[in-house]
Amino acid sequence: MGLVLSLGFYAAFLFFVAGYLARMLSWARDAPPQAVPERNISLYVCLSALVDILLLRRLLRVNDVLWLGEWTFHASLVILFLSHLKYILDPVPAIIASMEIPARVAAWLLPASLLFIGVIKLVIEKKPYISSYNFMLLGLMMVSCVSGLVMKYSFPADLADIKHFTMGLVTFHAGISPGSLTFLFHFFIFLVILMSLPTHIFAAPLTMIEARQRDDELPYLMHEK
Amino acid sequence: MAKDKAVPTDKIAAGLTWRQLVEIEACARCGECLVWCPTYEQDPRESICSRGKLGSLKRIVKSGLGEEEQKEFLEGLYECSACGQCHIVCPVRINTHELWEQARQSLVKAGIPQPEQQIKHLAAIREFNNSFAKPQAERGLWAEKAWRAGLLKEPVRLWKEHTASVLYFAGCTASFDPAMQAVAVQSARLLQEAGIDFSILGPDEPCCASKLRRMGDPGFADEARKRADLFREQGIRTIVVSCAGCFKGLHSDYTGILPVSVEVLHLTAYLDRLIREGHLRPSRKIPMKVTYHDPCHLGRHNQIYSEPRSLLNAIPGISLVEMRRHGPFSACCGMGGGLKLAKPEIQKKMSAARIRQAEETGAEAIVTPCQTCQIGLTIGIEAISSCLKVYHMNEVLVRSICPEAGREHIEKAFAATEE
Repeated sequence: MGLVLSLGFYAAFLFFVAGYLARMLSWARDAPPQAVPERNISLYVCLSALVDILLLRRLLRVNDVLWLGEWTFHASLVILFLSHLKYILDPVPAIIASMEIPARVAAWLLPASLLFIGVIKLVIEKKPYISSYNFMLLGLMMVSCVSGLVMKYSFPADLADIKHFTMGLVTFHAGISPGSLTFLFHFFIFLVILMSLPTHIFAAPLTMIEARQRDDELPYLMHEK
Repeated sequence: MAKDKAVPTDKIAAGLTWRQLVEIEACARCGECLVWCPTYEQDPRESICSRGKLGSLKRIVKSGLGEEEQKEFLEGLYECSACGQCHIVCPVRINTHELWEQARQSLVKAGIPQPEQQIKHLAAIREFNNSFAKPQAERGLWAEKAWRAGLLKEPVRLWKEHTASVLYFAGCTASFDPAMQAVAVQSARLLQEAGIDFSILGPDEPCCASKLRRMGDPGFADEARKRADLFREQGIRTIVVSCAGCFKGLHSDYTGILPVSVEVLHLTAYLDRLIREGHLRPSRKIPMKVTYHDPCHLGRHNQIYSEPRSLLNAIPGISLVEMRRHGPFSACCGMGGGLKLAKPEIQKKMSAARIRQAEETGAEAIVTPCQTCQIGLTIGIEAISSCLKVYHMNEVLVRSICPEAGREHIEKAFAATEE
């Protein structure tokens, strides 16, 4: 079972990485060379873009209620991602170890924010607002959250077993799979999410930096040539 | 569904920039664009909104589209006024309308042409150097007629006869469309009232060619370079433009083509400056409650929001009320991006929706500094039999500064000339 899970993990990870590599190669192949920007990005642009990304500033300007849900969702996701690094790092850095309490809060806020977003989009705004892909992804996130909470509070898994297994994954020494069914389910959902991660996670920050660069160089224009 | 092998996906991708290929991947599919899109409001199909178009472009670049999907994508791409609302509301700031224009160009280069009406329109611009398919010799006639009719304080001189400090660029619509020539006459008269030394190019004034860019004509950059060379050869340093579309063309689309030493100003911004400096004084009272319609090409695309409002507030008696959608969130009247040519029925619905928003304010009139918006909004007024009046900004200013150059007088005088 441990070997099967390990192979599943490597396959999902390869699928994820290969997808991005293929895209980057296609950009390099398709885009005309002269269109590749060769500009120096100033510190001001970097900092402004960082604030845009961290605060989801444009969404705040356009839809503050939705922003509350989206920001909570993304912030909780980042906290949970960082706190989960404790399973693949040995020794665990102090900063990751100190995220235990924020992660506990985030574990509840994440599904709550998902529900909040769903209510706004589907009940209040009543638009065909979420695409089928988004539905699938948000559904997977919700299932992952619930299975994580169940594992934490109802059917605790042996953390030492999990750590042993996950360390085996990252050191390429496939270990014995933990016996907890809840963990197996949680891990399986994680693999599915990994394979279907939206590309905007990486492309959107680049687009936001580029937008800030445009603002900086052509302050009164929406366009550049 | 079978993929259409005739669609050269690699050529389409090659027509986009590196940034745009990244932008296609950046869409978070949140759907904020479809909440705000004025076209989607009238035709709620996924292929109309940015999310749908980005999804299709992503598939085109990756593997191509099926025949039906491609048809839907093309409909969505051209059923778009490129108003830029989706860019303003996009949480990840995808430069959407730029992407649509580039995609149109890319498709044309790959052998997938624009809708037939747009092709005819573009052909007229290329052949006649104006979108009205009229001889260029007629371009400056409005100035002669206006002078003969006593509508101007002095004759408007041609640039080749008098190198002035300012070039007034009237554009095709105000030069050739009899219903809109008042805009050119009033612009010239207002500049004269302010004592500005200006000339026009007359028969040498080219079409700005921005419509080529809007509709994805691959020849845009070359045509723009020819115009930039003309301005350079003539020693033109400051261009004042009364048409919002031409302003977007010369001010935005020509970035990197027109030398930075050439200043391009929209008439509203220029007049606002002249009023603040005391060169122009609206003195007669115009007791009227008005609302202001931001043209996309002036507002969202060039961030001119405050100057037109400042002009209205400078006129005694004018009371300005805002529509619920104004400034960066102003709803498009549907006249941009070649939409009116491709889908006139959608433009009519968009314009009618905008007029309803104006009616909600209780204003007597809707004022806009764009003659194309004026035409578009008038279509909306007729569609819903609204009592609202549509005025060009020039008309309101002229009534306060020099009422003898009002639209009614101009139209009467020009009609008499025709007889």
